Amino acid sequence: MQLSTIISALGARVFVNHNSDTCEIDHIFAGDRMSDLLGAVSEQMLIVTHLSNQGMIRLIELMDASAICLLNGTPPCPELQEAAENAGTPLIVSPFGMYESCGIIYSLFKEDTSSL
Amino acid sequence: MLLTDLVQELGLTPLTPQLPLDEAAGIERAYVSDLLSDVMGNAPGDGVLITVQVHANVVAVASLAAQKAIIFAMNRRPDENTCLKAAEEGIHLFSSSLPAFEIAGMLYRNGVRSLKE
Amino acid sequence: MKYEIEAVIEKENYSNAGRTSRKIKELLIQIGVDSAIIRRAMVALYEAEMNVAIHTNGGKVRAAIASDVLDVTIEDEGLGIADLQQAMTAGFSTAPDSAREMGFGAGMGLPNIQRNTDRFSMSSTLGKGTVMRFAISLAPHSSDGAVGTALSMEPSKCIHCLKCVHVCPTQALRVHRKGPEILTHLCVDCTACMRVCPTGVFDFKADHALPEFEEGQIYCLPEALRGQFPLLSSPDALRGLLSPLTVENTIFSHTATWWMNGYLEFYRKRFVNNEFKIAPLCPSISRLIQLRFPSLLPHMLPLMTPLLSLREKIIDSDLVIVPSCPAEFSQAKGIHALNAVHAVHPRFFHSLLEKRINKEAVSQHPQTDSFQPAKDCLVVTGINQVCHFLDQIENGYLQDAGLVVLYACVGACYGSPVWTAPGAIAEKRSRYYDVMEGAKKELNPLYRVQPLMPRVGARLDEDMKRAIQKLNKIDEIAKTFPGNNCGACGSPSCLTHAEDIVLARTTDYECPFLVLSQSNASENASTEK
Repeated sequence: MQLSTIISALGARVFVNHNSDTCEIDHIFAGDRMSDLLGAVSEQMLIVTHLSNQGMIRLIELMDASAICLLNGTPPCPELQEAAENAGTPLIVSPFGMYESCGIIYSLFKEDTSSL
Repeated sequence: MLLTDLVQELGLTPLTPQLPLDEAAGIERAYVSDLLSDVMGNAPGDGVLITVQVHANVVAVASLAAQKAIIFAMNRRPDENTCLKAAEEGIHLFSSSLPAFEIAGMLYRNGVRSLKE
Repeated sequence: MKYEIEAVIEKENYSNAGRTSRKIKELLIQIGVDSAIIRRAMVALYEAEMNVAIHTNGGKVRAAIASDVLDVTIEDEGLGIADLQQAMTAGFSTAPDSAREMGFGAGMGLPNIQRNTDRFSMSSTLGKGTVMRFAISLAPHSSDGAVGTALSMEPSKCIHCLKCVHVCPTQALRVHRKGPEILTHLCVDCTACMRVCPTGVFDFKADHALPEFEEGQIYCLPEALRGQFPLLSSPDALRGLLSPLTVENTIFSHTATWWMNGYLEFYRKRFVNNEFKIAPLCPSISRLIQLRFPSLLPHMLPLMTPLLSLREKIIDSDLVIVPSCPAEFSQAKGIHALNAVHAVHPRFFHSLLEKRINKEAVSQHPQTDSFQPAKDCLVVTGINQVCHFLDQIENGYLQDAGLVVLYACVGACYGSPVWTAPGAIAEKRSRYYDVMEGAKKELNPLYRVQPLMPRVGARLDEDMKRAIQKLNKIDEIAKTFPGNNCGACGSPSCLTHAEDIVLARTTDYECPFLVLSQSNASENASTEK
């Protein structure tokens, strides 16, 4: 699924727009434990998380995540934006919390069965 | 959504079997977070919490945030004592092999929302 | 060629933690390392850095990249870890709430590091700190930890005597018309086939030459080598024949066994009960238990095998290891280290010594402290005996076995089929000298932090449904065979022959025994007429 489809379904604000229209997403991982995120990161994965701290900056720098979705409409700090910019990782912010965001994205995938 | 349906639909493993399921009313709300301060501040009351946080404090926090149940994702399980404490507080604990994303997605498609009115 | 980088990790400075990881990532990209491997390295490094920042008073990270390996040492000043096993348990955490709210402290850090590395060890001193060391192989293929066998074969030597088929404890051998075949997923490198083969079909591919001598190189020699000739039991005599070898650069494998024995005695004193425990001395036995007796895995003491302990202690030197069997050879081969590891075949050493030895000299045996195996330890040697013993244990007998030491070779490593001197005499000869030289005496065996996992051996099919179908088919075919397990078809039993047919391992469907008896019957019938 295209990241842009997810962005419009969520009504997400795009903070770093590195090739977000060509970015393909096949897996979603939602969580706030750094170890889980580190262990989960793979190609074409969107990470949905509350974390927007130093740990996330490192995750972006070190792990080449495909895209990051932060939550609750809270804009990321400038350092995080900069890190995503440098790493070429699309960074979006969903206006919803983690539960709703997951629900909406999950429904998208279910309706678009071809991509699941 | 009834707790019993929830258990069936998601194939959950009950960790507090001493709490009867059928008496519990339905689940209307849900919340996903692994950060306890976030749960405390933002989780809607009478809901179910989906988390991978198995630290002993999770039950205390869920109790403060008036949660009915906690679903531990990705096969995480709290220790014995935490389960006992939850049973005392009347909070149902479940374990699921699914990641939080899928649990949330399935509940969402069953009409469960997180928003406060 | 080696590239090194060193950096400080500050206590509770969560924002600086990860800087070194980032530097190393850039290096790995520059070298052109595969991105999946970089990812593994980053998980391990970042978790390790955060660990130090969260739990300790700060520390140091040292990383070195050389010859396809990233080797990382992380030292910290802290309280140390009282129970390494517990610390390695997924979900166990002592992190403060501040770290937990950062998304750390889920108790997944150490397991995460271990899962993403190819070599991992940790040692901790209470009140002082912890040293963690790990390595990641940068070559794309070697990171999956595939199991296989170290045995090599020369099928042309095979005379189809079928002896090997019958002695293999894991039914890993088949003899086809063109020679033997090893089902590598079942082989545990126990040497049973090597021992019985009359023509020497089986061996392992260690070098038959010495690597060029270099300063700082350490020779790790098997104890049994000293016992091969009556005149060589003194370490000095042995070294005299191999000119570059000195007290400083030679270590006998015995040293590591000694560490282990020290631990076993300590264990005996501390746990006086008769609880059944297996001391992991022989690497082949560990593999046998993983494959055939997985229910006994919890009884393995949490130690590394002597060879692995030894390797970890002298990891910073180029090693020349002389493994005394294929199982040791595969352990030596599996070392992911910055420094070169040469495995030289014991037979090569044997012939080298044979040429140089002065056979007229008279042997002298000045008596010194002779080695004593751990007292009250049950020792079972020989793969057949071991299998019988483990079967009995698994069936619930022998509850009072207590602490046991098991070896695949009769007479332990002295009885490996690579040696020519009988095990008993080799052991007696090498007993005369105490080889615990220099400071190496004080070392301890290392704890194995990684649990031994059961090995999937005989799965018929990935898909359970199809596996059951195959199982039925195997039964059906097996019923048509005589059931005397004669081995004439080249499979160890009628059941395994049926399995081989169903899994398309063989194209010889016929049972030679049946064919023979049928033709006999028809001959008899015709003569009667």
